[in-house]
Amino acid sequence: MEGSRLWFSFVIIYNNFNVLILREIIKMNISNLSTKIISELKKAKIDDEQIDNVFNISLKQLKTLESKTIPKDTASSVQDVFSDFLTFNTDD
Amino acid sequence: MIDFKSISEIKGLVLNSPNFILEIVNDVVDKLNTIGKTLDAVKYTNSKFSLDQASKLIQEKQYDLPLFGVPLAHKELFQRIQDNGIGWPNEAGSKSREGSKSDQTAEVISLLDKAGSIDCGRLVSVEYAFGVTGHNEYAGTPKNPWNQNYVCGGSSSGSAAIVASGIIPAALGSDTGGSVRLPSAACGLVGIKPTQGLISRAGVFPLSNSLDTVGPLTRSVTDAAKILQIIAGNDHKDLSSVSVKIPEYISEMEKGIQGLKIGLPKNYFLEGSDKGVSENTLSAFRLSEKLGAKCKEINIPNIETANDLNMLLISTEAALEHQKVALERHRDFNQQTLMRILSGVFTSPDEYEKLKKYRIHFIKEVIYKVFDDLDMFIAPVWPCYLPTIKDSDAGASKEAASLVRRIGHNTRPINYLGLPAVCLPTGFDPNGLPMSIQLIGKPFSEDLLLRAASSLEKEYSFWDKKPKI
Repeated sequence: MEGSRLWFSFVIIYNNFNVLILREIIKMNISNLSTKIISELKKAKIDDEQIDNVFNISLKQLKTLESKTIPKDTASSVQDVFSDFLTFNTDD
Repeated sequence: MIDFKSISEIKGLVLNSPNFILEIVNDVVDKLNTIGKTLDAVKYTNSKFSLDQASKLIQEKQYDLPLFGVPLAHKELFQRIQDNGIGWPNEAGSKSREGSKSDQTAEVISLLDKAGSIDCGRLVSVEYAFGVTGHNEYAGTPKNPWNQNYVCGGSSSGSAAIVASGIIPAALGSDTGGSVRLPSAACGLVGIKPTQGLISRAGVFPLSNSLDTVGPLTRSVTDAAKILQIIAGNDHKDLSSVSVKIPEYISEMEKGIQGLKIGLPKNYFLEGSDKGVSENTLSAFRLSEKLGAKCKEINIPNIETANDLNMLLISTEAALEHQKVALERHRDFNQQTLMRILSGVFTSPDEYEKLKKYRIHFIKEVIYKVFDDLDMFIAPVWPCYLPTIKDSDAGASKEAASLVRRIGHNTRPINYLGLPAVCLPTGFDPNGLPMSIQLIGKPFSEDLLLRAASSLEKEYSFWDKKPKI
Protein backbone atom coordinates (compact mmCIF):
# COMPACT_ATOMS: atom_id res chain seq x y z
CA MET A 1 0.00 0.00 0.00
CA GLU A 2 2.83 2.39 0.91
CA GLY A 3 4.52 1.74 -2.45
CA SER A 4 1.48 2.54 -4.48
CA ARG A 5 0.89 5.65 -2.38
CA LEU A 6 4.44 6.83 -3.09
CA TRP A 7 3.94 6.30 -6.81
CA PHE A 8 0.62 8.04 -6.62
CA SER A 9 2.18 10.95 -4.72
CA PHE A 10 4.95 11.21 -7.28
CA VAL A 11 2.51 11.52 -10.14
CA ILE A 12 0.52 14.13 -8.25
CA ILE A 13 3.59 16.18 -7.34
CA TYR A 14 5.05 15.85 -10.84
CA ASN A 15 1.92 17.26 -12.33
CA ASN A 16 1.67 20.11 -9.88
CA PHE A 17 -1.59 18.88 -8.36
CA ASN A 18 -3.47 19.54 -11.51
CA VAL A 19 -7.15 18.70 -11.23
CA LEU A 20 -7.24 17.26 -14.73
CA ILE A 21 -4.36 14.92 -13.93
CA LEU A 22 -6.06 13.90 -10.71
CA ARG A 23 -9.08 12.91 -12.76
CA GLU A 24 -6.85 10.84 -15.01
CA ILE A 25 -5.31 9.09 -12.01
CA ILE A 26 -8.72 8.26 -10.66
CA LYS A 27 -9.57 6.67 -14.00
CA MET A 28 -6.46 4.43 -13.76
CA ASN A 29 -8.10 2.15 -11.18
CA ILE A 30 -5.07 1.98 -8.86
CA SER A 31 -5.90 -0.30 -5.98
CA ASN A 32 -4.94 1.62 -2.86
CA LEU A 33 -6.58 3.46 0.00
CA SER A 34 -6.27 6.90 -1.58
CA THR A 35 -7.97 6.02 -4.84
CA LYS A 36 -10.72 4.24 -2.95
CA ILE A 37 -11.29 7.34 -0.84
CA ILE A 38 -11.14 9.66 -3.83
CA SER A 39 -13.82 7.63 -5.58
CA GLU A 40 -15.94 7.77 -2.43
CA LEU A 41 -15.55 11.54 -2.38
CA LYS A 42 -16.46 11.74 -6.05
CA LYS A 43 -19.45 9.48 -5.48
CA ALA A 44 -20.59 11.87 -2.75
CA LYS A 45 -20.31 14.63 -5.40
CA ILE A 46 -17.52 16.53 -3.63
CA ASP A 47 -16.14 19.15 -5.99
CA ASP A 48 -13.00 18.00 -7.92
CA GLU A 49 -11.07 21.09 -6.88
CA GLN A 50 -11.92 20.42 -3.21
CA ILE A 51 -10.75 16.80 -3.59
CA ASP A 52 -7.49 17.99 -5.08
CA ASN A 53 -7.06 20.53 -2.28
CA VAL A 54 -7.71 18.11 0.61
CA PHE A 55 -5.55 15.42 -0.93
CA ASN A 56 -2.73 17.95 -1.24
CA ILE A 57 -3.06 19.02 2.42
CA SER A 58 -3.18 15.41 3.61
CA LEU A 59 -0.21 14.38 1.50
CA LYS A 60 2.03 17.09 2.98
CA GLN A 61 1.07 16.22 6.56
CA LEU A 62 1.43 12.47 6.04
CA LYS A 63 4.90 13.03 4.59
CA THR A 64 5.85 14.83 7.82
CA LEU A 65 4.63 11.81 9.78
CA GLU A 66 6.46 9.41 7.49
CA SER A 67 9.79 11.00 8.43
CA LYS A 68 9.31 10.26 12.14
CA THR A 69 10.77 7.28 13.93
CA ILE A 70 9.42 5.86 17.16
CA PRO A 71 11.56 4.00 19.73
CA LYS A 72 10.32 0.55 20.71
CA ASP A 73 10.05 1.42 24.41
CA THR A 74 7.49 4.21 23.86
CA ALA A 75 4.82 4.33 26.58
CA SER A 76 1.32 3.19 25.73
CA SER A 77 -0.54 6.41 26.55
CA VAL A 78 -0.14 10.13 27.22
CA GLN A 79 -1.56 9.51 30.70
CA ASP A 80 1.25 7.01 31.43
CA VAL A 81 3.88 9.55 30.37
CA PHE A 82 2.32 12.24 32.57
CA SER A 83 2.00 9.88 35.49
CA ASP A 84 5.66 8.80 35.23
CA PHE A 85 6.71 12.43 34.93
CA LEU A 86 4.78 13.41 38.07
CA THR A 87 6.41 10.56 39.99
CA PHE A 88 9.83 11.55 38.63
CA ASN A 89 9.26 15.17 39.68
CA THR A 90 8.12 14.17 43.17
CA ASP A 91 11.13 11.86 43.64
CA ASP A 92 13.40 14.62 42.41
CA MET B 1 -26.42 45.82 36.39
CA ILE B 2 -23.47 43.38 36.57
CA ASP B 3 -21.58 44.78 33.58
CA PHE B 4 -17.85 43.99 33.84
CA LYS B 5 -18.27 42.78 37.43
CA SER B 6 -16.17 39.89 38.74
CA ILE B 7 -17.53 36.68 40.23
CA SER B 8 -16.89 37.89 43.78
CA GLU B 9 -18.52 41.29 43.07
CA ILE B 10 -21.63 39.55 41.71
CA LYS B 11 -21.73 37.20 44.68
CA GLY B 12 -21.45 40.21 46.99
CA LEU B 13 -24.48 41.81 45.32
CA VAL B 14 -26.71 38.73 45.49
CA LEU B 15 -25.76 37.70 49.02
CA ASN B 16 -26.98 41.10 50.24
CA SER B 17 -30.29 40.55 48.50
CA PRO B 18 -30.85 37.03 47.04
CA ASN B 19 -34.02 38.06 45.14
CA PHE B 20 -31.80 40.41 43.14
CA ILE B 21 -30.61 37.27 41.28
CA LEU B 22 -33.88 37.27 39.33
CA GLU B 23 -33.34 40.86 38.16
CA ILE B 24 -29.76 40.06 37.23
CA VAL B 25 -30.82 37.00 35.21
CA ASN B 26 -33.49 39.01 33.37
CA ASP B 27 -30.93 41.69 32.58
CA VAL B 28 -28.29 39.20 31.39
CA VAL B 29 -30.72 37.29 29.14
CA ASP B 30 -31.96 40.60 27.75
CA LYS B 31 -28.41 41.73 26.97
CA LEU B 32 -27.56 38.37 25.39
CA ASN B 33 -30.59 38.85 23.11
CA THR B 34 -29.73 42.44 22.21
CA ILE B 35 -26.00 43.22 22.50
CA GLY B 36 -25.09 39.55 22.08
CA LYS B 37 -27.10 39.15 18.92
CA THR B 38 -25.74 42.43 17.53
CA LEU B 39 -22.31 40.87 17.96
CA ASP B 40 -23.56 37.65 16.24
CA ALA B 41 -22.34 35.79 19.31
CA VAL B 42 -25.46 34.21 20.83
CA LYS B 43 -27.00 30.94 19.73
CA TYR B 44 -29.70 30.28 22.34
CA THR B 45 -31.29 31.68 25.48
CA ASN B 46 -34.10 30.27 27.60
CA SER B 47 -35.22 32.87 30.13
CA LYS B 48 -37.81 30.55 31.72
CA PHE B 49 -35.18 27.90 32.44
CA SER B 50 -32.69 30.48 33.78
CA LEU B 51 -35.29 32.15 36.01
CA ASP B 52 -36.51 28.77 37.31
CA GLN B 53 -32.92 27.81 38.10
CA ALA B 54 -32.47 31.14 39.92
CA SER B 55 -35.75 30.75 41.88
CA LYS B 56 -34.77 27.26 43.02
CA LEU B 57 -31.40 28.55 44.16
CA ILE B 58 -33.01 31.37 46.16
CA GLN B 59 -35.40 28.90 47.85
CA GLU B 60 -32.61 26.51 48.80
CA LYS B 61 -30.60 29.33 50.44
CA GLN B 62 -27.22 27.66 49.83
CA TYR B 63 -25.37 30.92 50.14
CA ASP B 64 -21.99 29.28 50.62
CA LEU B 65 -21.93 27.84 47.09
CA PRO B 66 -18.85 29.19 45.25
CA LEU B 67 -20.87 30.55 42.31
CA PHE B 68 -24.12 31.38 44.15
CA GLY B 69 -26.26 33.41 41.74
CA VAL B 70 -23.50 33.99 39.16
CA PRO B 71 -24.89 34.05 35.60
CA LEU B 72 -22.87 32.23 32.95
CA ALA B 73 -23.33 31.12 29.33
CA HIS B 74 -21.20 28.72 27.31
CA LYS B 75 -20.03 27.65 23.89
CA GLU B 76 -22.79 25.78 22.06
CA LEU B 77 -20.87 22.49 22.18
CA PHE B 78 -21.84 22.00 25.85
CA GLN B 79 -25.00 19.95 26.03
CA ARG B 80 -27.91 20.44 28.42
CA ILE B 81 -31.07 18.43 28.87
CA GLN B 82 -33.67 19.90 31.22
CA ASP B 83 -35.37 17.85 33.98
CA ASN B 84 -38.52 17.73 31.80
CA GLY B 85 -36.54 15.98 29.04
CA ILE B 86 -36.26 18.98 26.72
CA GLY B 87 -32.79 19.20 25.24
CA TRP B 88 -31.12 22.50 24.36
CA PRO B 89 -29.93 22.91 20.75
CA ASN B 90 -26.88 20.82 19.90
CA GLU B 91 -26.04 22.04 16.41
CA ALA B 92 -22.29 22.59 16.94
CA GLY B 93 -22.55 25.68 14.76
CA SER B 94 -23.50 23.70 11.67
CA LYS B 95 -26.43 23.58 9.28
CA SER B 96 -25.61 19.88 8.94
CA ARG B 97 -26.97 19.47 12.49
CA GLU B 98 -29.89 21.87 12.17
CA GLY B 99 -32.56 20.96 14.74
CA SER B 100 -30.31 18.56 16.74
CA LYS B 101 -31.00 18.58 20.48
CA SER B 102 -28.92 17.68 23.52
CA ASP B 103 -29.56 14.20 24.91
CA GLN B 104 -27.53 14.70 28.10
CA THR B 105 -26.04 17.42 30.26
CA ALA B 106 -22.28 17.89 29.97
CA GLU B 107 -20.45 16.94 33.17
CA VAL B 108 -18.86 20.39 33.49
CA ILE B 109 -22.27 22.05 33.15
CA SER B 110 -23.60 19.86 35.98
CA LEU B 111 -20.61 20.86 38.13
CA LEU B 112 -21.28 24.56 37.49
CA ASP B 113 -24.98 24.02 38.33
CA LYS B 114 -24.02 22.38 41.61
CA ALA B 115 -21.73 25.34 42.37
CA GLY B 116 -24.75 27.67 42.20
CA SER B 117 -24.29 29.34 38.81
CA ILE B 118 -27.22 30.26 36.55
CA ASP B 119 -27.02 28.96 32.99
CA CYS B 120 -28.17 31.77 30.69
CA GLY B 121 -27.60 30.20 27.28
CA ARG B 122 -25.34 28.98 24.52
CA LEU B 123 -22.87 31.03 22.51
CA VAL B 124 -21.82 30.71 18.89
CA SER B 125 -19.04 28.29 17.98
CA VAL B 126 -17.15 27.90 14.75
CA GLU B 127 -18.72 24.96 12.89
CA TYR B 128 -17.73 21.70 14.65
CA ALA B 129 -15.20 23.83 16.64
CA PHE B 130 -13.00 23.50 13.58
CA GLY B 131 -11.64 26.96 12.79
CA VAL B 132 -9.27 29.59 14.09
CA THR B 133 -10.69 32.88 12.83
CA GLY B 134 -14.30 32.62 14.07
CA HIS B 135 -16.01 32.67 10.67
CA ASN B 136 -19.29 30.79 10.49
CA GLU B 137 -21.67 31.30 7.56
CA TYR B 138 -24.51 29.44 9.29
CA ALA B 139 -24.44 30.43 12.97
CA GLY B 140 -22.86 33.86 12.46
CA THR B 141 -19.37 35.28 12.71
CA PRO B 142 -18.99 36.94 16.13
CA LYS B 143 -17.66 40.50 16.05
CA ASN B 144 -14.86 41.60 18.33
CA PRO B 145 -16.23 43.97 21.02
CA TRP B 146 -13.04 46.07 20.85
CA ASN B 147 -13.63 46.78 17.16
CA GLN B 148 -16.47 45.07 15.35
CA ASN B 149 -14.61 44.91 12.03
CA TYR B 150 -12.19 42.43 13.56
CA VAL B 151 -12.46 38.71 14.26
CA CYS B 152 -12.90 37.19 17.72
CA GLY B 153 -10.74 34.23 16.77
CA GLY B 154 -12.01 30.68 16.97
CA SER B 155 -13.43 28.43 17.75
CA SER B 156 -14.89 29.63 21.09
CA SER B 157 -15.68 32.93 19.38
CA GLY B 158 -19.10 33.62 20.91
CA SER B 159 -17.82 32.88 24.43
CA ALA B 160 -15.00 35.40 23.98
CA ALA B 161 -17.23 38.11 22.50
CA ILE B 162 -19.80 37.86 25.31
CA VAL B 163 -17.32 37.81 28.20
CA ALA B 164 -15.33 40.70 26.66
CA SER B 165 -18.52 42.72 26.23
CA GLY B 166 -18.96 42.51 30.02
CA ILE B 167 -22.36 40.74 30.06
CA ILE B 168 -21.15 37.73 32.08
CA PRO B 169 -17.92 37.14 34.02
CA ALA B 170 -17.05 33.77 32.49
CA ALA B 171 -17.91 31.25 29.79
CA LEU B 172 -16.66 27.81 28.91
CA GLY B 173 -14.94 27.05 25.64
CA SER B 174 -13.09 24.10 24.18
CA ASP B 175 -9.50 23.99 22.93
CA THR B 176 -8.22 21.37 20.44
CA GLY B 177 -5.66 23.51 18.61
CA GLY B 178 -6.05 26.91 20.29
CA SER B 179 -9.81 27.41 20.47
CA VAL B 180 -9.85 28.85 24.00
CA ARG B 181 -6.56 30.77 23.73
CA LEU B 182 -6.98 32.38 20.28
CA PRO B 183 -10.40 33.93 21.09
CA SER B 184 -9.24 34.86 24.60
CA ALA B 185 -6.20 36.61 23.14
CA ALA B 186 -8.25 38.34 20.44
CA CYS B 187 -10.72 39.73 22.98
CA GLY B 188 -8.37 40.53 25.89
CA LEU B 189 -9.37 37.63 28.13
CA VAL B 190 -7.73 35.13 30.41
CA GLY B 191 -8.17 31.66 28.92
CA ILE B 192 -7.12 28.31 30.30
CA LYS B 193 -6.24 25.33 28.14
CA PRO B 194 -5.89 22.63 30.81
CA THR B 195 -3.61 19.59 30.90
CA GLN B 196 -5.12 16.79 28.86
CA GLY B 197 -7.28 14.75 31.22
CA LEU B 198 -7.78 17.37 33.96
CA ILE B 199 -11.33 18.40 32.94
CA SER B 200 -14.10 16.10 31.73
CA ARG B 201 -15.28 16.38 28.11
CA ALA B 202 -18.31 14.13 28.71
CA GLY B 203 -21.35 15.64 26.99
CA VAL B 204 -19.29 18.06 24.90
CA PHE B 205 -19.59 17.79 21.10
CA PRO B 206 -16.39 16.01 19.96
CA LEU B 207 -13.85 17.15 17.39
CA SER B 208 -10.72 15.14 18.25
CA ASN B 209 -10.79 12.50 20.96
CA SER B 210 -7.05 12.72 21.63
CA LEU B 211 -6.83 16.50 21.72
CA ASP B 212 -10.12 18.07 22.86
CA THR B 213 -9.92 19.98 26.15
CA VAL B 214 -12.37 22.23 27.99
CA GLY B 215 -11.48 25.53 29.66
CA PRO B 216 -12.81 28.87 30.93
CA LEU B 217 -12.60 32.32 29.36
CA THR B 218 -12.75 35.18 31.89
CA ARG B 219 -11.68 38.81 32.37
CA SER B 220 -9.40 38.02 35.31
CA VAL B 221 -7.01 35.36 36.51
CA THR B 222 -8.94 35.04 39.79
CA ASP B 223 -12.21 34.29 37.98
CA ALA B 224 -10.44 31.76 35.75
CA ALA B 225 -9.02 30.05 38.85
CA LYS B 226 -12.48 29.97 40.47
CA ILE B 227 -14.08 28.29 37.47
CA LEU B 228 -11.17 25.87 37.11
CA GLN B 229 -11.51 24.87 40.76
CA ILE B 230 -15.09 23.78 40.11
CA ILE B 231 -14.68 21.93 36.82
CA ALA B 232 -11.32 20.18 37.35
CA GLY B 233 -11.42 16.57 38.48
CA ASN B 234 -11.73 12.96 37.49
CA ASP B 235 -14.80 11.73 35.60
CA HIS B 236 -15.32 8.06 34.71
CA LYS B 237 -17.53 9.11 31.77
CA ASP B 238 -14.51 10.56 29.97
CA LEU B 239 -11.92 7.86 29.25
CA SER B 240 -9.11 10.42 28.94
CA SER B 241 -9.85 11.78 32.42
CA VAL B 242 -7.16 11.26 35.05
CA SER B 243 -7.19 11.17 38.81
CA VAL B 244 -4.83 13.76 40.27
CA LYS B 245 -4.87 15.87 43.41
CA ILE B 246 -6.51 19.20 42.58
CA PRO B 247 -4.68 22.12 44.25
CA GLU B 248 -6.43 25.07 45.91
CA TYR B 249 -5.87 27.36 42.95
CA ILE B 250 -6.78 30.66 44.62
CA SER B 251 -4.55 30.22 47.65
CA GLU B 252 -1.70 28.87 45.50
CA MET B 253 -2.11 31.83 43.16
CA GLU B 254 -1.48 34.28 45.98
CA LYS B 255 2.11 33.02 46.31
CA GLY B 256 2.98 35.06 43.22
CA ILE B 257 5.63 34.77 40.54
CA GLN B 258 8.67 35.05 42.84
CA GLY B 259 11.04 32.13 42.47
CA LEU B 260 9.23 30.48 39.56
CA LYS B 261 11.54 29.31 36.79
CA ILE B 262 10.37 30.71 33.46
CA GLY B 263 11.88 30.00 30.04
CA LEU B 264 11.79 31.86 26.74
CA PRO B 265 12.15 29.48 23.78
CA LYS B 266 14.83 30.73 21.40
CA ASN B 267 13.47 28.52 18.61
CA TYR B 268 10.13 28.29 16.79
CA PHE B 269 7.66 30.56 18.63
CA LEU B 270 9.30 33.98 18.24
CA GLU B 271 10.89 33.08 14.91
CA GLY B 272 7.46 32.24 13.50
CA SER B 273 5.73 35.37 14.80
CA ASP B 274 5.64 38.95 13.55
CA LYS B 275 8.09 41.45 15.08
CA GLY B 276 5.56 43.34 17.22
CA VAL B 277 4.18 40.09 18.61
CA SER B 278 7.64 38.77 19.45
CA GLU B 279 8.58 42.04 21.16
CA ASN B 280 5.41 41.85 23.27
CA THR B 281 6.40 38.34 24.41
CA LEU B 282 9.97 39.37 25.11
CA SER B 283 8.69 42.28 27.16
CA ALA B 284 6.52 39.94 29.30
CA PHE B 285 9.55 37.68 29.81
CA ARG B 286 11.63 40.65 31.04
CA LEU B 287 8.79 41.79 33.30
CA SER B 288 8.63 38.30 34.84
CA GLU B 289 12.32 38.53 35.70
CA LYS B 290 11.82 42.00 37.17
CA LEU B 291 9.03 40.61 39.37
CA GLY B 292 11.29 37.92 40.82
CA ALA B 293 11.03 34.95 38.47
CA LYS B 294 14.21 33.06 37.55
CA CYS B 295 14.32 33.49 33.79
CA LYS B 296 16.44 31.86 31.11
CA GLU B 297 16.41 31.18 27.39
CA ILE B 298 15.62 27.60 26.35
CA ASN B 299 15.24 25.38 23.28
CA ILE B 300 12.24 23.14 22.66
CA PRO B 301 13.46 20.03 20.80
CA ASN B 302 11.79 18.99 17.52
CA ILE B 303 8.87 21.42 17.97
CA GLU B 304 8.90 22.45 14.29
CA THR B 305 6.60 19.69 13.05
CA ALA B 306 4.16 19.67 16.00
CA ASN B 307 1.76 22.13 14.33
CA ASP B 308 1.40 19.97 11.21
CA LEU B 309 1.10 16.75 13.19
CA ASN B 310 -1.53 18.30 15.45
CA MET B 311 -3.50 19.42 12.37
CA LEU B 312 -3.25 15.90 10.95
CA LEU B 313 -4.39 14.31 14.21
CA ILE B 314 -7.38 16.67 14.49
CA SER B 315 -8.40 16.09 10.86
CA THR B 316 -7.97 12.33 11.15
CA GLU B 317 -10.07 12.06 14.31
CA ALA B 318 -12.63 14.58 13.02
CA ALA B 319 -12.95 12.42 9.90
CA LEU B 320 -13.36 9.26 11.99
CA GLU B 321 -16.13 10.96 13.95
CA HIS B 322 -17.85 13.03 11.26
CA GLN B 323 -16.91 11.63 7.82
CA LYS B 324 -20.32 10.08 7.20
CA VAL B 325 -22.27 13.30 7.73
CA ALA B 326 -19.59 15.31 5.90
CA LEU B 327 -20.08 13.18 2.79
CA GLU B 328 -23.84 12.87 3.01
CA ARG B 329 -24.54 16.54 3.78
CA HIS B 330 -21.45 18.30 2.42
CA ARG B 331 -23.53 21.10 0.96
CA ASP B 332 -24.61 22.01 4.49
CA PHE B 333 -21.01 22.61 5.64
CA ASN B 334 -18.90 25.75 5.49
CA GLN B 335 -16.31 24.98 2.80
CA GLN B 336 -13.38 25.42 5.18
CA THR B 337 -14.78 22.93 7.74
CA LEU B 338 -15.44 20.45 4.96
CA MET B 339 -11.90 20.93 3.65
CA ARG B 340 -10.41 20.23 7.06
CA ILE B 341 -12.55 17.16 7.83
CA LEU B 342 -11.93 15.67 4.41
CA SER B 343 -8.18 16.20 4.67
CA GLY B 344 -8.31 13.58 7.44
CA VAL B 345 -9.96 10.82 5.42
CA PHE B 346 -6.74 9.79 3.69
CA THR B 347 -4.98 8.71 6.89
CA SER B 348 -4.73 4.91 6.97
CA PRO B 349 -5.28 2.95 10.23
CA ASP B 350 -1.50 2.27 10.41
CA GLU B 351 -0.70 5.95 9.95
CA TYR B 352 -3.23 6.87 12.63
CA GLU B 353 -1.58 4.47 15.09
CA LYS B 354 1.83 5.91 14.22
CA LEU B 355 0.52 9.45 14.67
CA LYS B 356 -0.72 8.67 18.18
CA LYS B 357 2.40 6.69 19.11
CA TYR B 358 4.79 9.37 17.86
CA ARG B 359 2.87 11.93 19.90
CA ILE B 360 3.46 9.92 23.09
CA HIS B 361 7.18 9.65 22.28
CA PHE B 362 7.38 13.37 21.47
CA ILE B 363 5.64 14.42 24.70
CA LYS B 364 8.05 12.34 26.76
CA GLU B 365 11.07 13.73 24.92
CA VAL B 366 9.98 17.33 25.38
CA ILE B 367 8.74 17.34 28.97
CA TYR B 368 11.82 15.66 30.43
CA LYS B 369 14.21 17.92 28.51
CA VAL B 370 12.35 21.21 28.85
CA PHE B 371 11.01 20.92 32.39
CA ASP B 372 14.08 19.37 33.96
CA ASP B 373 14.87 22.70 35.63
CA LEU B 374 11.94 24.88 34.56
CA ASP B 375 8.35 25.51 35.73
CA MET B 376 6.97 27.05 32.56
CA PHE B 377 7.81 28.83 29.35
CA ILE B 378 6.35 31.88 27.68
CA ALA B 379 5.17 32.26 24.07
CA PRO B 380 2.87 34.43 21.95
CA VAL B 381 -0.69 33.28 21.18
CA TRP B 382 -1.48 34.85 17.79
CA PRO B 383 1.63 34.95 15.57
CA CYS B 384 0.43 38.21 13.99
CA TYR B 385 -1.73 41.23 14.74
CA LEU B 386 -5.42 40.40 14.70
CA PRO B 387 -6.94 40.36 11.17
CA THR B 388 -10.27 41.89 10.16
CA ILE B 389 -13.27 39.65 9.49
CA LYS B 390 -13.09 40.60 5.83
CA ASP B 391 -9.37 40.02 5.35
CA SER B 392 -9.38 36.60 7.01
CA ASP B 393 -12.45 35.23 5.23
CA ALA B 394 -10.52 32.62 3.21
CA GLY B 395 -13.21 29.92 2.91
CA ALA B 396 -11.68 26.83 1.30
CA SER B 397 -9.41 28.67 -1.10
CA LYS B 398 -5.83 27.58 -1.73
CA GLU B 399 -4.75 30.29 0.74
CA ALA B 400 -7.06 29.00 3.50
CA ALA B 401 -4.84 26.05 4.43
CA SER B 402 -1.80 28.27 4.95
CA LEU B 403 -3.83 30.88 6.87
CA VAL B 404 -5.23 28.20 9.20
CA ARG B 405 -1.75 26.73 9.64
CA ARG B 406 -0.22 30.12 10.35
CA ILE B 407 -2.76 31.29 12.95
CA GLY B 408 -2.34 28.09 15.00
CA HIS B 409 1.47 28.25 14.84
CA ASN B 410 1.86 29.00 18.56
CA THR B 411 -1.14 27.15 19.97
CA ARG B 412 -1.41 23.76 18.22
CA PRO B 413 2.02 22.47 19.39
CA ILE B 414 0.81 22.88 22.98
CA ASN B 415 -2.26 20.71 22.32
CA TYR B 416 -0.02 18.18 20.66
CA LEU B 417 2.06 18.16 23.86
CA GLY B 418 -1.07 17.89 26.02
CA LEU B 419 0.32 20.60 28.31
CA PRO B 420 -1.56 23.29 30.26
CA ALA B 421 -1.47 26.92 29.12
CA VAL B 422 -2.88 30.19 30.41
CA CYS B 423 -3.50 33.06 28.00
CA LEU B 424 -3.06 36.52 29.51
CA PRO B 425 -3.80 39.91 27.90
CA THR B 426 -0.86 42.29 28.02
CA GLY B 427 -1.87 45.39 26.03
CA PHE B 428 -3.00 46.60 22.63
CA ASP B 429 -1.62 46.37 19.11
CA PRO B 430 -1.26 49.41 16.81
CA ASN B 431 -4.88 48.87 15.62
CA GLY B 432 -6.21 49.03 19.19
CA LEU B 433 -6.92 45.30 19.45
CA PRO B 434 -5.76 43.18 22.41
CA MET B 435 -2.38 41.45 22.50
CA SER B 436 -1.56 38.50 24.72
CA ILE B 437 0.98 35.95 25.82
CA GLN B 438 0.59 32.36 26.93
CA LEU B 439 2.33 30.65 29.82
CA ILE B 440 2.86 26.96 29.19
CA GLY B 441 3.61 24.57 32.04
CA LYS B 442 4.47 21.00 32.86
CA PRO B 443 1.60 18.50 33.20
CA PHE B 444 -0.96 19.46 35.88
CA SER B 445 0.86 22.67 36.85
CA GLU B 446 -2.13 24.98 36.34
CA ASP B 447 -1.53 26.31 39.88
CA LEU B 448 1.95 27.55 38.96
CA LEU B 449 0.71 29.11 35.71
CA LEU B 450 -2.00 30.97 37.62
CA ARG B 451 0.60 32.20 40.15
CA ALA B 452 2.68 33.76 37.38
CA ALA B 453 -0.34 35.05 35.46
CA SER B 454 -1.77 36.70 38.56
CA SER B 455 1.42 38.65 39.26
CA LEU B 456 1.76 39.75 35.64
CA GLU B 457 -1.93 40.72 35.45
CA LYS B 458 -1.45 43.24 38.28
CA GLU B 459 1.30 44.94 36.29
CA TYR B 460 -0.61 45.09 33.01
CA SER B 461 -4.01 46.23 34.46
CA PHE B 462 -5.49 45.41 31.05
CA TRP B 463 -9.15 45.73 32.07
CA ASP B 464 -8.77 49.32 33.29
CA LYS B 465 -9.85 50.02 29.71
CA LYS B 466 -13.19 48.71 28.43
CA PRO B 467 -14.57 48.15 24.92
CA LYS B 468 -17.21 50.61 23.75
CA ILE B 469 -20.11 48.63 22.36
